[in-house]
Amino acid sequence: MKLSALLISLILFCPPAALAGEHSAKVGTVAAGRGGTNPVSFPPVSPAEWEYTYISDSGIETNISVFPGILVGKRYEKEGFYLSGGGGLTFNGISAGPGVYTAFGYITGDGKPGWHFNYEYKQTLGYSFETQRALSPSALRIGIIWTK
Amino acid sequence: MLETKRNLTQLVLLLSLAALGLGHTPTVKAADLSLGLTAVESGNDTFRPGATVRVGVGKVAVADYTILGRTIGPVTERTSIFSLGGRWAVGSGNLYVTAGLSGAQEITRIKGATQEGGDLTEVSLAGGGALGVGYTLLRAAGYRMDLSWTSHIYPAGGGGLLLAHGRKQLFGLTAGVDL
Repeated sequence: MKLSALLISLILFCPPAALAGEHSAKVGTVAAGRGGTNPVSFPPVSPAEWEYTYISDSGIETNISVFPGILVGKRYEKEGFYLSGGGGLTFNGISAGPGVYTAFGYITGDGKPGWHFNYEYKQTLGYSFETQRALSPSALRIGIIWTK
Repeated sequence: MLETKRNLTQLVLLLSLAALGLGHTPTVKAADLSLGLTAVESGNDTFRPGATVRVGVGKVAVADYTILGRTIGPVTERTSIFSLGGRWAVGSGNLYVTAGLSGAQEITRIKGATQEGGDLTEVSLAGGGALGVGYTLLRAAGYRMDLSWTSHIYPAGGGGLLLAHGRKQLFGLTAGVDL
């Protein structure tokens, strides 16, 4: 609850125009080692449903979420669609470990600056040294993005 | 178990012969055919082996079919996953994105489970989308080898409106020919 409030506050009250790069906040469902997902809660107050993404001017993105984890990668964009790939720390609700990810997304607005909708699916593959098992949490999220 | 292994072996052999035959046909390289092994994960971080056949048409369309199964005692499971969509190169390298529609069929058969002693069969169908990324490891002399990582996402009925879904992740290594 505290984390979700922090994330929401960060997005709503942070002056994105005064910062470099682009900022995205998305909410959605995650599959984290327990089969399919539940519907997104309403209102979406669970921190597990949220993700904040910062995209630098050079296309490096930093994703912060409980699931699938904290991930840094490179984003390739074309006509509103994008592909991201990179690595970081993945978490499946039981254990965490290093992993890689790819994300597929779409941003509305035809590249114009401002607030737009952002749709994204992210898949990860990691490994937990603690449980000695693979981790493969994924997330399907919808949100808003501030583009320059 | 034996039945499933026999089915998979027959599929792989038939497709191998087809690929070899087509590979020696003097045609323009407007399509490609590949076979491979796939690790399938169904949302529980557990991977099961499957066999995949992939047909690419032109540079932009691709169809995948993956089959896997297992037998545990009287229970036999068989899963088929099919996707049809486009593929787009990313940058000037060998990386590409695939996106399209996906369908899955899961058949579970339990021997002697009915009151009459017959088999009980349950068939589940799912439809949704597929998103993936692939990398061409090798492409030379009409042959190719690819790595792929694809998620098949199936909306969970009405809950799909609230993003509820099931998913299968496929990690594949395929080898084939340009036709």
